[in-house]
Amino acid sequence: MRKLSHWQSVFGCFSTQKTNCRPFKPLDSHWQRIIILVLVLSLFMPLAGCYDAREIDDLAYVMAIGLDKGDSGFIKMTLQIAIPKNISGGGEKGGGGGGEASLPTTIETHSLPVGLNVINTYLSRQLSLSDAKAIVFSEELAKEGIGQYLHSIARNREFRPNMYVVVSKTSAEDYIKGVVPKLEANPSKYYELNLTSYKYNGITPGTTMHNFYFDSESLSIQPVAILASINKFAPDKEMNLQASTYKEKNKPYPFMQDFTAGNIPRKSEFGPEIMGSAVFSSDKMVGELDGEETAYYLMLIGRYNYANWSFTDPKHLNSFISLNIKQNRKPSIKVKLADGKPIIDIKLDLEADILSIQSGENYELPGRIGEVESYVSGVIKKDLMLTLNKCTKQFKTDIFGFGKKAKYLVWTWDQWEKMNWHSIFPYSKFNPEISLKIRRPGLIIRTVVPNSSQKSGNASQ
Amino acid sequence: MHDKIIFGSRDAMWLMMNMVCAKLALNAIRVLEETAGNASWLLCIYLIILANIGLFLVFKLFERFPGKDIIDIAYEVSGSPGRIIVGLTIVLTQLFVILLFFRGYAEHTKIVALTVSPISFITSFFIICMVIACFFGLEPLVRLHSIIIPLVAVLFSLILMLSLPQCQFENLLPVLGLGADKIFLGGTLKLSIFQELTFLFLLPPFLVSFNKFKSAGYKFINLSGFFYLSLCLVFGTIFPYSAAIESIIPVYSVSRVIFWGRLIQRIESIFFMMWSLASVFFLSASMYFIIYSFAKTLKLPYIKPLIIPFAIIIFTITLLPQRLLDVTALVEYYYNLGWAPAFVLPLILLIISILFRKGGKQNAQT
Repeated sequence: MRKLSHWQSVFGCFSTQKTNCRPFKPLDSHWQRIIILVLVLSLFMPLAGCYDAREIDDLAYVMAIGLDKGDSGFIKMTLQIAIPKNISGGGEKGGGGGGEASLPTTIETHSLPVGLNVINTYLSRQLSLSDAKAIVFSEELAKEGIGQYLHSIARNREFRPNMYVVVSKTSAEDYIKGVVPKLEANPSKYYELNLTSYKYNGITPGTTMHNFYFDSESLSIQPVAILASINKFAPDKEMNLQASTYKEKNKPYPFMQDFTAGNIPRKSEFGPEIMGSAVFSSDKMVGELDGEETAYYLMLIGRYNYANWSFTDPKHLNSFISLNIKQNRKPSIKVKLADGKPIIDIKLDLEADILSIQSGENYELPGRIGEVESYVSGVIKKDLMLTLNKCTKQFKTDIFGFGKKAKYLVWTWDQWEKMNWHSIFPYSKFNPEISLKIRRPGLIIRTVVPNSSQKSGNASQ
Repeated sequence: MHDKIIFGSRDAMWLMMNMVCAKLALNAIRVLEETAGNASWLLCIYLIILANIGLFLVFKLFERFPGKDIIDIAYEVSGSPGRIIVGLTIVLTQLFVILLFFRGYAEHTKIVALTVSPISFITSFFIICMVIACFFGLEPLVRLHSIIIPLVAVLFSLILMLSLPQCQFENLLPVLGLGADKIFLGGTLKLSIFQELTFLFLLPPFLVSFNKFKSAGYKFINLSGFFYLSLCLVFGTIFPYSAAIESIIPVYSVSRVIFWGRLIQRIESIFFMMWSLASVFFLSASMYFIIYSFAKTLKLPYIKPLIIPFAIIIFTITLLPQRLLDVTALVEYYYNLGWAPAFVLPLILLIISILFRKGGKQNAQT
């Protein structure tokens, strides 16, 4: 008998011919083959469409969902639905078809699934949530608690876990209706790009649904959401810096990160904006962080990527140094308990590139670069402490996930529950250590200042 | 000789791998999480060690009766009553198991994909495949396992690898999860994840030698244990304990959170393909072995006339539970008692054979 290889014997067994080299019995009769053929062919029949068949052009794609407190005590649900013919290419102007790219609609309901059902009484197409990019809660609703909606979302397979969670300081309806992007034909792409901008600006948390949901149920971390609003400065109004958070932080003047959404001093026809974070304790919003505090939050949870920062020049108080700060590696965090109170050692490893030195001071020189490094490290350390104190003393919520490190202190889940991290976290003491190294000076290796401006600079001092 | 079905230890390994690992696509990991908390991976290692020890003892029985399956051995050891008791135990146990998983697969398919289709429509697909597979017979079934299951294993590994960026080691803390007692005492019952070992005991006549049988056994236990352990670690690090016990289908939940930019996301479609293949093969092989055991127990000469009646019985009992939650409640019994037919039954036969000096050298002399 000829010896067969493994794969020869694997594929050989489906032959209906009798051979001497295969130790297997072929199909017995023609009738058996016919029966099997009929059974196999019967499997192809439903491929033409079965109960679950839904054509792409029979569906209405929801891009964002907004939830507000309803007028009748229930909830007000706003959907932003894509109008495909205006989004798709082929229009006269190239990108979209020329008209509105989305259709906002609002309904008063007592639960999400029923609301979605009722919307289909006046929309021709069946709603599909599988492309929803954002869920927006109004601040008012978030402060009352959103747990019931989170469970509803987690239970429904159509909601994507990577949908972004946003809290709007205005109503969710206003925010969603305001999202009529100028750069994108497709609002869905606007959400996708805008809400992931934390990767290069570091001033929004970029929270997705599954992170938010897990954190809201966790005993070791609390959730945050992206803070959004409609900008309060109308194009025809004067801008001011009064709404900045710089005074709370004892700064002499506001930096651009010292704002929350809605208060950014800017003028634009486009109202919606995001900046800062909505801080939660379990499923209830308890406060907000501005852009700078959000950057520290991102650094502490290890999701900070890079962003541009400004610092007062230590030698010239009216000039600024701008740096592009990156996080080298995940933060090193160690938690220990002393008299039942957490002591948390934090080590942040940062590196920076110089973007501008307005004063023209030659900090790039090898002997002087350390001056900027230690100064900036000191500023970051001070402001980081303010953020940590705000979350411990004011909000009493561990959004940084220090509790995850505290789990090293126990062996079992019982012990962990007994430790009751969320109740002892407000008594935490922090020992932050910031290591910042300036790596590159950009395209200029030293600054040559004209004599006249140097003189005037010295005179001003 | 040419009519005798023979396959290698690798084919047997893939067959058994799927029999044990197909449950991964359903609820096995959630059950381990519920038992040991976030230390399910520790429980998993413990179960792999226990299964290896159990298998070592079970092989002592098969060593005494080379080339014989457990029903033949029962006959050798205790005559026809033994054969009928052992055979019917296997048939009834596996009918219960197939009820749980057939309905489970169908219901979960309805949850994640075919939400509008009636359950009878979905089960019809499965039963047609099972009937076709049984008509083809054991060898094509086993050979197909060695083609398809490696592919399923690759898809499964792909899902695990793509989800690595979402893993957070701290979710595995506290190290001992719900406690050492829950892992090492209560967790012992979860040896039931290897319940399908019973099918391995039907394979000796199809494997050339005892060594191949033994090698297939150890290989599949450790390889399937590895997949269990990998999923426990990945699922446990992505989902905090509180969220992990909420998830109805852990692998599906893992595949949903995979997000590598705009290009790689919605991986659950791969999961669904993997799931469909694994479940159809699992159910087909289960049904074949049920019919095979039944025929062998009652000394019926042909298997094929039994296929349609058994298909009708299985299809009917699958629809008996009124709701998925009833099936979930029954699954608890499976995970608490499934170890008994897999490990206790052969050990009882081993003890009897030693006491009455059956098998081994005596057998060789006769």
